[in-house]
Amino acid sequence: MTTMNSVINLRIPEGLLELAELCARGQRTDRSTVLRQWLYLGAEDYILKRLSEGTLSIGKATELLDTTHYDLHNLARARGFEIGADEQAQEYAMEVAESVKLTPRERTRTQ
Amino acid sequence: MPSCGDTWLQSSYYQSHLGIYLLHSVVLYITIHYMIILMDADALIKLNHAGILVRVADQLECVIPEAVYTEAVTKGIAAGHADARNIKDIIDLYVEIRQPGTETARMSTIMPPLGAGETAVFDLSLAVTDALIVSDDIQFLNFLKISGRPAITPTVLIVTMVRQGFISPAHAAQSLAKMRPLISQIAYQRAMNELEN
Repeated sequence: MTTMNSVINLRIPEGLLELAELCARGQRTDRSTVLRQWLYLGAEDYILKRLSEGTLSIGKATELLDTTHYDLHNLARARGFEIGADEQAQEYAMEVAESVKLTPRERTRTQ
Repeated sequence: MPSCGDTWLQSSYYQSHLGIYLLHSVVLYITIHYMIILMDADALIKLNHAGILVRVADQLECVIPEAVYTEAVTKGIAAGHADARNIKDIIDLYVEIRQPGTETARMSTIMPPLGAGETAVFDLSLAVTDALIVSDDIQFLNFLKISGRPAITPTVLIVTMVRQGFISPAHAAQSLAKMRPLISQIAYQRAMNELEN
């Protein structure tokens, strides 16, 4: 889902602006693009942290970053974040598994 | 045990244990359910990465909602991920795509902000009798637990398939090793321990 970009006013410290200017020259781009890239990097790290803590779902995370599950998995690996069931979730899954019988496809076909 | 002259139904052993047999059958009926696998996009991707999705889909009754197909297949192919094409082929062959109802509105007060696929999985779980959700997302699993919906992780599904005779322990160990980079180390270690026990 791609939404229209919004324009907002931000107070940015002079030093950070100077740094963005330096970076922009090095990348042959403009200061705004560099600031957007940094904003995005921060947002990605924030989302990966919340994902690994279990306070955001991976489906919602992909929607917020306008990316795919595959890219988010790759990003998590590249940034060293572990995303996936924690001990409590795993415990619940094991409890559930004790009381279920998986349905073979043939069983359903013959019913 | 019944003597040789008795028929099984006339035997005193059978009659004295009839109540226990009946009770046992009722308990089994109540506690053991034949479950249909309902996967979210994360589970599909991880099981496929482990090389076991085709086995899961071929051997077990599986359903997904359209929104999960969009996340795992449509968006994945559009972004150029080869795994998405593989998942598409498996779904096309073996997995049923069903539309969920609109039960979410009733649960919206306790539902965290989930993605479209996870929300559709939850809705579909309310419509499909004996749906067993497979997900590896902590927040989604916690919500499912609170909501009383049965859910397991991809690693626990693999362990369960071994226990119920669908795959060998060696096959499971290979799949878990392939899945390892995409899952938590706790999940990997626990699943390996279960396989060894």
